[in-house]
Amino acid sequence: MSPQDDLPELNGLALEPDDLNGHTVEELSAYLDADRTPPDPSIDESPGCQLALQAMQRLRGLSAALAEADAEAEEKSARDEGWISRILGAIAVDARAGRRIPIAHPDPMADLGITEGAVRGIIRAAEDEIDGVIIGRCRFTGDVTVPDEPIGIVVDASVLWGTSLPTIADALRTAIRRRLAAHTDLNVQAVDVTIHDIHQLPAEEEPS
Amino acid sequence: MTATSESMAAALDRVIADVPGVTALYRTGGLLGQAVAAGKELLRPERESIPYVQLTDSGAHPSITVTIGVDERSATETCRLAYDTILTWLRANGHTDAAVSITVAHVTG
Repeated sequence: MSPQDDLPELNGLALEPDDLNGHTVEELSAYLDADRTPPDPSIDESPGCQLALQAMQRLRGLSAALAEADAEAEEKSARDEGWISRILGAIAVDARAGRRIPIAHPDPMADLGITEGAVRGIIRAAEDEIDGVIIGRCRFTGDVTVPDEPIGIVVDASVLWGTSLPTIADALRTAIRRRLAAHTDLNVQAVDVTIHDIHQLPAEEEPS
Repeated sequence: MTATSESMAAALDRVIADVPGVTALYRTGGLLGQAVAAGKELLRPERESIPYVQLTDSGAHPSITVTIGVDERSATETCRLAYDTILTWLRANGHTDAAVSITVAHVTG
């Protein structure tokens, strides 16, 4: 287990500068606001920043709709700010390169691998396959640096109100397993999904 | 890096960038390594960039380290293909006993 897996709660968004190539989550958010202009090579050429930007962009799509739904309920809106901060914190942590996970090759001299951060990005991108799901914290159990070691994936997710939780959890498990099988050599034994938050979108107006 | 090893690294940059599925090359070595690369960039007389591939010993037994981004096709397959492509290029250029290390740092999609 890596040190970051031991973190019971993220300490706000206070991360080491190296995690995001010296940038903060706020700076990346401003960069997205500016439609990534003018181009900043220190962001565009950083895999950590790219992982974080990708996840933040997905989060923005859902949180904009939620903000609209919460406009009439300040208390609920404040609660969701905490939720979004937690997700942003998890995104920033995921952007760390972390451990190097081996990729097998018939040539024993080959030294191939994929970063833990990239694999977390692969898991997080499963959000795209299921409407209204946002993945929060994501952890590995087992030693991902040892080839063929049995590995477990533990993810926290937020979903929209009105969807069947078992159905969503099953779909997320299936998507994560498929994506990991396509992109890694990990020996995934289990994918555990915990739904932490449920959110409501505005009801569509009845046609008059 | 000597001029010879730098031109070899630059050639490898192009070889790796042409591998199907590779979307990006990243500098290796974290913030400090990137700062050093950026510093070297400023000192260069001409407008040319520092190679992304890290290369030690450009002779018969070079050691190559590279960090890549890949697209939505299989990251493992793209990484293996990049390795095979690098090895083929090295052998064709007289480097018979190379140590190659490739790390995927970002998967698009």
